[in-house]
Amino acid sequence: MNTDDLRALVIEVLSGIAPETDPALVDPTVDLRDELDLDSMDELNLITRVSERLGIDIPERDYGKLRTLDSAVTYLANRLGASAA
Amino acid sequence: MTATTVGTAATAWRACPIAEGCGTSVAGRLRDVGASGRARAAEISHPAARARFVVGRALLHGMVAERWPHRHGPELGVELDAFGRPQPIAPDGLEVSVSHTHGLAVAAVSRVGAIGIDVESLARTDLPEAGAWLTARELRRLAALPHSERRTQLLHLWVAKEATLKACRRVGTTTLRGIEVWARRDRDDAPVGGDVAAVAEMGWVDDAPGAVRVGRDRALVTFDATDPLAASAEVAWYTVADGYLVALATSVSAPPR
Repeated sequence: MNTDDLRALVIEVLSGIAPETDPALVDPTVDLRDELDLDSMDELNLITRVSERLGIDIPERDYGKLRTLDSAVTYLANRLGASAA
Repeated sequence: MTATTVGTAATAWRACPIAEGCGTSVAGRLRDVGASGRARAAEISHPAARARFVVGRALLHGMVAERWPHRHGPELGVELDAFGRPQPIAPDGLEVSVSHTHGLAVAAVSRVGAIGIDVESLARTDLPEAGAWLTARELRRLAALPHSERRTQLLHLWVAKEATLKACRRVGTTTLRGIEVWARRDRDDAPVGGDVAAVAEMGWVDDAPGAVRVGRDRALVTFDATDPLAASAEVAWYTVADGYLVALATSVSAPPR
């Protein structure tokens, strides 16, 4: 799975959490909470669903590394050893 | 419902519907959030998220101003917590906390120690998978409940943990699973509500108008695996505004580290 795949996966999960918005249009460098009106519960839903889809454990202490689309993709790529697209 | 003056209590919290903006339009509230609040609001692109932030911040500003009347337009700072989430900070030893969910903002101030507040709608159904944020004991207690009671219990645990995270952030860094909310009704030896009860009985806590306290418990906090009981906080739950659940965490105690 490369970084484009990871980005698509995160966007797909976000679409289920914030269905009234279009996550594909978010600024990838901006806090997802600000862009998509996510709260703490949405944020944990995002992390647990991505974690489940990828079959990896994401420790709570790493949650802050998934605050933007870009940082989430970078973190997940590092965890998975993914190649750049 | 609009927020009303609560007085000079050492610990107080208030609630304000987002749509009402506490009697003023959300846009009008921007003048009440200080320069740092306006700068932060400008960073929030989603209109609903920005409205929630502005109303919560204005509510908090008003409460701080009442307690520091010599400070006209007090400026609140912002610091990031362990999860990278912005948390307000106030000057002069005043502890503050704010929370907002779809439809309601709440804010709390304390002159007697750390404080944390959190709010959620009681109608909320999209709770994260419990194993991701409950302790093993909490999971067992949850499993023993009738199905009809589990969602409400999960909401109580969620707001309690979020409030405790905020209240304890200066003591150490913990996680949702590093906080365990005791089940007082299941434990005869559980400590009784200590400071929260005492303070409430002496009238030092001002609760939001219309709020009904529905429970009280203690949250035990772990900062790492080698320090299994590093701190504790008192948690009180309230229902407010016909459908919201609020948790207020106070009286944080921690052994010397």
